[in-house]
Amino acid sequence: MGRLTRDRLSQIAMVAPLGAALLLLTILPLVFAVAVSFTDLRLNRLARWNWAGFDQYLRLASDERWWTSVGHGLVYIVVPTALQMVIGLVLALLLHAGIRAVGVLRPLFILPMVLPPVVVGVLWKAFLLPDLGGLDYFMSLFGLRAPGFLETAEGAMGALIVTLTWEWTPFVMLLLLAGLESLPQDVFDAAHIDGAKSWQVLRYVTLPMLMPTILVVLLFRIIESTKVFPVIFTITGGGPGNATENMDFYAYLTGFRYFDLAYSAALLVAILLMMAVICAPLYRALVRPQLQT
Amino acid sequence: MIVRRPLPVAVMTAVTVGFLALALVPLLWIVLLSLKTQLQSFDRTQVFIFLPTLDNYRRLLADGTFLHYLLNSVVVAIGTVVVSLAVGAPAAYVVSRSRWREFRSAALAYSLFVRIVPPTVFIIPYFLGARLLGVNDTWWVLIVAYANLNIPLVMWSLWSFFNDVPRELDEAARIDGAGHWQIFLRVILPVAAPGLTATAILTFIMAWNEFLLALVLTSREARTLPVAIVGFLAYEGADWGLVSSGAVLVMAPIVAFTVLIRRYLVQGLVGGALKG
Repeated sequence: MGRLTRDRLSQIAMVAPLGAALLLLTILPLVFAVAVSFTDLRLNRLARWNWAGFDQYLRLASDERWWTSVGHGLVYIVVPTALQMVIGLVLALLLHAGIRAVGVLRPLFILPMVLPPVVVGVLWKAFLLPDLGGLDYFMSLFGLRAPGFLETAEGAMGALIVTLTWEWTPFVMLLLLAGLESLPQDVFDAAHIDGAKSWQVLRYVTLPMLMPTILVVLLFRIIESTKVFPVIFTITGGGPGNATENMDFYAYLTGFRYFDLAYSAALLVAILLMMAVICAPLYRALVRPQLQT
Repeated sequence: MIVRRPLPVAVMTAVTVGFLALALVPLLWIVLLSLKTQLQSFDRTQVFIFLPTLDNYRRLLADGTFLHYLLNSVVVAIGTVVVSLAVGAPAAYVVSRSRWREFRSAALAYSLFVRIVPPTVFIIPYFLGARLLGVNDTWWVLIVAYANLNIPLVMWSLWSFFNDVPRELDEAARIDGAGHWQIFLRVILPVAAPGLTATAILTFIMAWNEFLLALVLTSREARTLPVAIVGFLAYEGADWGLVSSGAVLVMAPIVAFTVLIRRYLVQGLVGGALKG
């Protein structure tokens, strides 16, 4: 056997397990989920099911609770992401300006994003509770009482937004800081020699040069911002009522609490399509040009 | 080098430290809560200064089920690391050394695609599939499900670490008559060892933290710690002593690992996307 053939064969052997995993664990399950969405399968009577055509999708179109959950989902994509980007950028710029005392503490800064999301939810719930919560204690020092975060729809939504911002700002900060550190120093020196003021350097040199990094980080945050299930589950459970549930959460409840697997599958397919529509243009515009190496 | 600062250093330090404090207060709060008796946790005169007790931890561990779930979490996380690396690492090597552009961009699209798919989408097929095969509520089903979600991350991250290994090393080995497996095992892996370690730890963290699939695919036997903690929360009037001490124990290894891999975290998380 020639060396070229042997090389080719070993390369194939190295990629084969990945191909098998892709086929059996990603593609096949997705096809299966799509198939389930065209049936009337229920969790409490798995043995008896019929094809149902587009029934589940027709239901979806007129399901008010679904569209409400889509609205909430969009809030979780837009609001926390915007806050994370702004605060993360400010922190990255501050850290980059060389605060040595803080540099040592960097690992502490990034903790929120690596903690188990369930723990993130639990610790914010504990912090926001009226009786043993920390927020109420700190506010009581000023003679105030903490608002009942978890009782009203707006409060519960606010609690989730605060939590998600806290959880993911470190990610933005860390990546933008890495981006800042990789910018060439001489451009800044030149700008200063030309007499540019600090804010001018920031506006006309730093931010434009950092923009590609900012956009990639933004894409990552948008992609990940649908994965808020554990935080919703622990802090509000989707409530009060269904005031804080997003598409994922509603799909989970539909399938595993109301046993309506077929409708749940239809919802999940819709979520997937929605994410593809949001992410595909971003991916094409932002990430691919950077990867042509 | 000329460094000009837009604001006085003292102000910037104060702002930064302020943010840090803000970020850490809720964390500190749950640690304090875990060391208090129920009475102390409601007592406003014993917020920061109190006689700490390990009662909550003792209660948590005395039960035995917590240790059972701890074992599940450890086995599942380690299993996920082994499977994800065994599948992802050789593939990442082939991709990083391939000159076939379409192949590389397909691999990239795949690793990003699995990230875009909300994991919720997999719960129904995995749940039904596991039931069909009779493997619901076992370590195996979680390891396989987690490996599927983590292989793309492993590829994504190792790809960039392997790219950093100079090709001259491959070529030298190649002239000495080494095949792909030998180059991969004897040249690439040892040189990329720090990146490999960081990727392994990152995968461990992902598997250790995962909640949704564990919630759906396990019930009693294979339940992992995140699901167990939510269990303490679920009943009316949550037992905050157990919730807080459980939360502290679950995050302890994550904190330790994060300190270990902080230098490689950025590259591990977004791979080549930022390096170009």
